[in-house]
Amino acid sequence: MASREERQIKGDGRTQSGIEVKELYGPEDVAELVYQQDIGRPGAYPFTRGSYPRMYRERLWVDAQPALGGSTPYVKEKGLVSSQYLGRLLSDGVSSGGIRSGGDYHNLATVDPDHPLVRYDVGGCGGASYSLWQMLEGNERILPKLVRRSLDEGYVIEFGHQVGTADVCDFTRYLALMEVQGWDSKKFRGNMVNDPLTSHITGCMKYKQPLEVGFRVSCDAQEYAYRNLPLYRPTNGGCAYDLRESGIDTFQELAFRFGNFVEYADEMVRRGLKFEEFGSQPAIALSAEIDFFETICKLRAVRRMWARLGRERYGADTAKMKCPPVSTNSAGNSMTQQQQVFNVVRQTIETMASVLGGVNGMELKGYTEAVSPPTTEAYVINAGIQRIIAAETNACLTADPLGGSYYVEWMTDHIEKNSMQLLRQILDKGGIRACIRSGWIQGEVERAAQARAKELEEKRKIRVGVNLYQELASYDIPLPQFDFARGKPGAPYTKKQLHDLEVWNTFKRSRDLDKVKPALGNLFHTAQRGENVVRPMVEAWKAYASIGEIMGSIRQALGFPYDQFEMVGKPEWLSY
Amino acid sequence: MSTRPIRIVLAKLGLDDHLRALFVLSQAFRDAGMEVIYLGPYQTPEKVVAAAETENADAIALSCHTVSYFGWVEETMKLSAQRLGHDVSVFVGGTLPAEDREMLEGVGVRGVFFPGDSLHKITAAIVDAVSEVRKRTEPAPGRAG
Repeated sequence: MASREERQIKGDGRTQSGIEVKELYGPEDVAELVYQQDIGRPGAYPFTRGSYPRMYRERLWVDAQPALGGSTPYVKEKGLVSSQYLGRLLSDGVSSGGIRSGGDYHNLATVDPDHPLVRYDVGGCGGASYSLWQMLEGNERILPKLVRRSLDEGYVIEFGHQVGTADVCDFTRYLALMEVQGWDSKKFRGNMVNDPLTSHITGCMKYKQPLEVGFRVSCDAQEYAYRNLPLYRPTNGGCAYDLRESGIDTFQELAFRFGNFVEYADEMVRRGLKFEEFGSQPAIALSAEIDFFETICKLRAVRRMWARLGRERYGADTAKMKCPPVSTNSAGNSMTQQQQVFNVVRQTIETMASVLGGVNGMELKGYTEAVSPPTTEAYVINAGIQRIIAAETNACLTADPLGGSYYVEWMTDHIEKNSMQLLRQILDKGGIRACIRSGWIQGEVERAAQARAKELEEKRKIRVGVNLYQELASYDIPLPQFDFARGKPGAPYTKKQLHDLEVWNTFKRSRDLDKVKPALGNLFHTAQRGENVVRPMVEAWKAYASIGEIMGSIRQALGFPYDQFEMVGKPEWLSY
Repeated sequence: MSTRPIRIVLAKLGLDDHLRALFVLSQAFRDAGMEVIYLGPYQTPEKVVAAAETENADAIALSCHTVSYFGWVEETMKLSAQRLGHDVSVFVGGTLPAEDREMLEGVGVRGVFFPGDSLHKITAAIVDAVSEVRKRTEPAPGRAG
């Protein structure tokens, strides 16, 4: 970087979300802030400086790297996740996140694996997963062992589908497993994203699931867990990470997230729960973007926003408030296919921003994120990044080390005020569901995605190796890549996919429809009466109903087609 | 050769619904003067090819972000060859492993795009391909009859 031109700031000189930044900040920029009321101590209202009083002295963040992707994981094709390997990841501390279940495509769409729109996608993201039979008698018999271990050792079981209904399907299926085994579900420690509204905002993972179906099933599961499962966090109250990945900015990320949270929280209040009983349960999961200070300040702002919303909208007692944990995912959109070793650097910066913002949990993407799920090597690198920051940098010794910086306090305030203003606009429009029905919010997402692409095309925002310094990407620095088992010309299905379909056929042959039918009938009528569907879902799993049959029955009960894609009908044998 | 706008079908196949690229591409295609037949996600090869046929499209753009994408593309290529001949150019882009280019070109895909490819590069390749087909299939102005 020798020439004068080289030594100038690149890009348009604004933050990622377009915040105009002055050359210098001073006391005049934070003159309006009052310490006790706007900043305060960590662990106390308004939680700007952290969720817990002693922050990382009390406990470091949870490294929530997915140790298991999918019920019969895609990583299994490469021989990565055997029970021994999962055991090693957990024992070595490479993952402390416990079991992380992602969904296969059919599972996310809550249709069966032989649905005509699944076709080549069967088993394409983890392995077809549709029944309790698989856990007890079929190809998922590893799962009961892992669940037992998580109950014994306190590992978290996490369903990270975002699609509310798919999460609730897994949640109820695991409840059914525990009940069949005679295990106490009150010890069920875990969380799920369970946020169907985000799918409707971004369109991603919507799978034509009707909004009414998604919202109803999601809220039934939330209510059930708040009333019955003390260790369980049944929603993250708005999947801000997935929202952000659609291309929206920081203000929209927070406003949409809290817009979703308000929809769920208002419904819980309507059902007779008090904010104090559930308001701290949904963990706040944001995106750790490559914009360093914007990310730090967003993390500080989000806690304050939650606290003020709790006080102002739900009348919560600020002295008794317990701040929910805040977590980040490192931003997939910041990762490049070009010169992937640079992604390790990006992840490190995003991790450091998360730590300085005071997160309580983190999931890092792999350096391969632009093309694939993480390789084993990526998992190990991610574990290294977090442990180097935790053990070598001394960045964790004091809570909120950047608190009091003129710039950081100004930007925290700027982000909170602008996000809150946008949230008020959304609430004035009738809330997130009204904004989804009118199409306004989808339009915002579409425009944001287009604006982000244009910024890169016009070099107003920079990706090193992609739209600037491309020469750096021309050096060959090979890194291990994920070895996809995937379709080839003339052989569009892999062996594992064909096996998944065989197992599906075995499942269908081996169950007793006389048990399935009444269970689905009970589910249908319970849903139609407007009562909570969690218990009849659990019973339907126990009777060996499939995911498509369970969700199809609920869809029909609520007045929608059995198959939301309208490509197949209700099975002939099924009558309610 | 005709100067009428390029008509392009834009779709995702199966259960892949990572939509961000569709939003970006539909705008980029329109900015480049094309007419976009936007099918969106959850499409089948049958629906895509039928849309290209009834809409008299010059090109099909398939956005792919799953590991299981190849079966969908291969089926679309077969159906497109049967029903539309080889004058409708098919383009595939997304989070694809770089080594898949050859396999895709082998089944007749006209252009393959990867993360980081500029919108300009993508639209220029489509314009070139369609122009080439039109030169071949449409009589030059003034010579007709």
